[in-house]
Amino acid sequence: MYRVTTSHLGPDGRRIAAASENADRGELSAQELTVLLDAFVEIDPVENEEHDPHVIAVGRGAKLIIRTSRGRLQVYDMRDHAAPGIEMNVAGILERLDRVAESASPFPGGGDLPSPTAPHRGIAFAMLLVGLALNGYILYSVFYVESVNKKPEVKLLSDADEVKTRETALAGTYATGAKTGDRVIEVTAAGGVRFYELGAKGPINDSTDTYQIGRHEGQLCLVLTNETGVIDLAGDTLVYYRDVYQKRHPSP
Amino acid sequence: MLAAAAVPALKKNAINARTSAVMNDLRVYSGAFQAYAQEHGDWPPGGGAPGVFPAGMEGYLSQTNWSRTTPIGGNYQFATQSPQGGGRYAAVIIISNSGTNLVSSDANQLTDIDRKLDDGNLSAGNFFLGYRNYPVFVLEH
Repeated sequence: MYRVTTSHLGPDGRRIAAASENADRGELSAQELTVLLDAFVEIDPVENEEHDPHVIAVGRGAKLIIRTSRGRLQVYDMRDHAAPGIEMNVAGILERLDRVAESASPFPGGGDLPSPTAPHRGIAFAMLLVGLALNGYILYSVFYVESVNKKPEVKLLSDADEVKTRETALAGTYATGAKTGDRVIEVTAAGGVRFYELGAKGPINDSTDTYQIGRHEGQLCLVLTNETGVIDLAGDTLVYYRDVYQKRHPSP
Repeated sequence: MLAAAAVPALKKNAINARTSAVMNDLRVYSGAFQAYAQEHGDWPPGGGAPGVFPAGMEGYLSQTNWSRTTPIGGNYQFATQSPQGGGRYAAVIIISNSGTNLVSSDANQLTDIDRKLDDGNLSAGNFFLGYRNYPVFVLEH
């Protein structure tokens, strides 16, 4: 059933009724509406032009204004005023009035257009990706800690004979001095190294490590296993964190 | 996303808080050592391990505070005639590793302390990185 109102239309739907501005025709069946529209489409074109008669039909799926022009029916969607009128036959109008939960637009091409939610989903997805990327960057920057202890680039010596010779020559005790507060580095030929500081009551800050011999910025150095710094070699001295350690020669 | 955006601010606050705490410690401790030096004509003897209360500083320093872990890890150590960064310093306070109690190596944290306490340059001034990149606060050059 369709709720039908006519405007400026006589009872048979085929003639103009100028005085009948709006007439509620109540609930019409599909057959009755078909009869009305078949009659309406044959209305006199001159009278039609002058009085603009039309039919308003409300179904489960649409509310349509139906006008006629040159023997054809022009249909306008009352829920979408921006949509242009389109030409439809009676069967199409009935089908459109009954269609529920489909595209609101009865107009050609409407069904081919992407769903109105599709671009929104795309935008939402893009925003989600941007959000995740931003979160990742923030968390990375928060948990990334730039350390003052950076491993320098070192090229280790590969010649076993050269390594052996240098380790033997290196072995010994090196110190910044012999007073309380001075520091000592003991290097063994077996690749071991010990660090300590001369405290008031003996060695303090005592620690051990192992080393390999390499080159750092072209200069020979000891590459430590646990500590990040390198010990530069310069003749009979070691340089560690810019402090110079002189080799102690055993008393004759 | 908002929560994540708030994390950097929280991190910055944490850095600021640690910086303030370290600065406060160093001011209090340097004042105590200077008071000792004024009264005795020399610095107290160095040579103590990190976290070990400096000899002679009873009545000048709180032993509990000195021995606790610093706000940036490690322990305070007082040293005299200390070789640091190629120079030798008459008196310094070092923040050193002590066993498994390690000093922060966070460049942002250390630079923040240096900027607020000294010149912002971790290689120079009265606050710099010395032996093993331990922070050193100079009491006397």
